[in-house]
Amino acid sequence: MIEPDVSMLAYMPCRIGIPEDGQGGTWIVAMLIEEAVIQALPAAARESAQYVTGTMQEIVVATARRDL
Amino acid sequence: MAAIAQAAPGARSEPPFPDNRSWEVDRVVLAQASERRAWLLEPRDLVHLILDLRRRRPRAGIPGRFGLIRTEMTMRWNSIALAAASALLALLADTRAAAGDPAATAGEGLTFSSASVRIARIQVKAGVSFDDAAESMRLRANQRNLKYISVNQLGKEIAALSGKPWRLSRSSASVMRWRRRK
Repeated sequence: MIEPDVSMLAYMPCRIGIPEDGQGGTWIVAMLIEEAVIQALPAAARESAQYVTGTMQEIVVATARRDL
Repeated sequence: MAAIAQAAPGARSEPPFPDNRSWEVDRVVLAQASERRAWLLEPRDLVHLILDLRRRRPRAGIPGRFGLIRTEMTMRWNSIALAAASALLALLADTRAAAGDPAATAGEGLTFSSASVRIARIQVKAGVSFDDAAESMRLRANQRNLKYISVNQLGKEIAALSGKPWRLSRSSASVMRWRRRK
């Protein structure tokens, strides 16, 4: 991802926040790369970005559901 | 050639294309055309162009802005147009810098580029504790070969500084719930 566009480094490392709201609620918040940015990458880098973004989404959902 | 109505003053731009074939940079939109060219449009024009295209009218007139003369264009994915759009994006940044836009140049060689991000939010299932959620996150990340870098327990840091437990404020929590309902 960094090879074709060094700006992609700004998205790293991937971050996931887990705030508690004081009313018994816990949240998962994560920043994902915009689809248009991914599509603009060269094929190989696009594949990596799609993998990372898809995995981040998967992690966020698994975390919320306590999937192990 | 279809005419495009002028937008009302203060009209807000909609997300440009359903399949993400354009970028929005501040108030200027870079769109790709099948004619191997890219266009700079103001959002207000683009909104009406999109409305026109959604009515299944493949050809649309573009009002003359930024020196563009009314031209026929058909929006379609094209890799060459993508390259042209990227080049124009770079040109756009330079133009803004040359115009003395403080957001484009902050002096001392510092340059900026804009990139959109998406923020994903989800509420943890009832009965799942903070520690359980964090453990699930680490396990799944490890399964998918994402390297664990570090953790920063910001809440504990704030609590240590303020001397009282820290949670999201009521207003922040309300915003999250409201966004989930939308």
